[in-house]
Amino acid sequence: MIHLKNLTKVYPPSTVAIKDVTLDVEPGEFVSIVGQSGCGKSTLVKLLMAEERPTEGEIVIGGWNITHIKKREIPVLRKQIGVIFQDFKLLPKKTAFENIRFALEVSGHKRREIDKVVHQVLGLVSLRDQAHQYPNQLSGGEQQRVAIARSLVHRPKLLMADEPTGNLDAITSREIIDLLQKINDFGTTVLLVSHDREIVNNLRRRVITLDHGHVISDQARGKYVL
Amino acid sequence: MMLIFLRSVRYALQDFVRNFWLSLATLLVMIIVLFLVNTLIGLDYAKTALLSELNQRIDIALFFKPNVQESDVKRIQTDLEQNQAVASVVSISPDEGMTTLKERYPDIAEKILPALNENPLGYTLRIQARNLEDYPTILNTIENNSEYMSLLDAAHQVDARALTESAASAADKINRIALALASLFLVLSIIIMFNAIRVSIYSHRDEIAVMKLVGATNMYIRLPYVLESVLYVFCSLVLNTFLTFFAIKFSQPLLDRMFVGIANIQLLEYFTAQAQPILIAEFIAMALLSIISTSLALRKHLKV
Repeated sequence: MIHLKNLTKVYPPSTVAIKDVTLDVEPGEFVSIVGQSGCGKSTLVKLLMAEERPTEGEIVIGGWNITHIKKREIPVLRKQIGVIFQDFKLLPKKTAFENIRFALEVSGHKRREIDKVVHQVLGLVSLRDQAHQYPNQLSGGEQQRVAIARSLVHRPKLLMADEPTGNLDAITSREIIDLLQKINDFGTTVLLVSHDREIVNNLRRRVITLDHGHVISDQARGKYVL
Repeated sequence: MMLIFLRSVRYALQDFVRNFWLSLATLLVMIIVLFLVNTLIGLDYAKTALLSELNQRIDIALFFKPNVQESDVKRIQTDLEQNQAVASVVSISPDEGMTTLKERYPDIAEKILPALNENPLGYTLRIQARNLEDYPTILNTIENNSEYMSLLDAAHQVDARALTESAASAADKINRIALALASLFLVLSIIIMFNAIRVSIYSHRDEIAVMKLVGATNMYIRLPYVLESVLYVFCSLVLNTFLTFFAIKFSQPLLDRMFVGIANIQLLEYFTAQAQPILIAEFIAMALLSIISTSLALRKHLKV
């Protein structure tokens, strides 16, 4: 699903965020990427979303080499990858329903089809009753579930979660991780970026540890080693 | 494409309503800009009316010697009427001149005229220029024509030159001031409007980034904001029409008092007669300006 080869990202003038990272993620895997702040986790997500360009190396997602992706192809890539963030990144003046609908509308789907899919994903994240509430009327956990629902509307093969529990309490965090596992059980590859030791250890899935931009550990049923 | 356009209209309307205070602030700025523009148009009309009134009150009078024949006067009149700078040339016969003299100065006429055996007046041509600035040119044309000068009583030319030149100079100064004011107002309007739209777009920067992250194309993001800015223009134009109407209603009595006996400045009549071209021109200019401002302001935030 993901193939990174000698990936390096240097921010001018000489800040090395990612250095010579080579790794593969197979379809259907649930992979945690851990490390301390500034180790390059978020840069890796930005590179996978083509928000940043690599300085060196190669990125292939689902067979598509996006190393030198053209600007006009970026929206196409982003419709194929589901992404959720620590700060949810919801549109504040749109309701939960409209936030999710927007992701489908940008792809030119018809209204009837959109309504059907949005109802389905809202059901999946148990938010049908809150569909017409604005983000500021929802709790942090509910907002993150809206973001997850939004990321699922395109039925992505890959879901990236960048510190999805960073703003949530322990119980809500557990619910969000359970939801991600459920999505993974349906066959979606999940890439979880986190620095939450307890969550990563409880998962008992593959853990890749980054330190100063390098991969220092890659364990199939790993633990948070730092 | 139609689907994208219709959805963009919906997003634009939603954003306009849901960001009420931001919309209101942007609208108010646009109304101020339009009111400035309308004030400028009103001032230009008042200036034109005043200069036109002054123009009508000034003319060049050519007093011919008493022995000059009517045919010569008619020929010169025809010549002058061909001049582009001349608006009209009126011929006054010696008898008409005498009648006017008697009406204006009855005492003098009663004392002096009985002593004269015949009418001492010659033909007179009264020349009106199209613009005040044209008088010196017309005077030069006449003074440089030796044939005309040989038929004229030249004593009156000095006064005519002084008067027409000062009027032309005044008109020129007024036009320069008006042009400077217009330029200043326009530059101010453009800056204010551009800034209002830039602030509005800036406050949406996080939303724009989110839209990019969920896969929206630049065009899909840009179109609703462009439509919303055109909606601002439309609403501000409607509201400003009412504002201008009330401002004229309030200021017309003041203008009447200020220019009584000087000029007849009817702002409401002027704006009513010119409403269609003014509104269309303002809408097109403001819409273009807002579309350009929106596109420029968005460009920076679309690089996600």
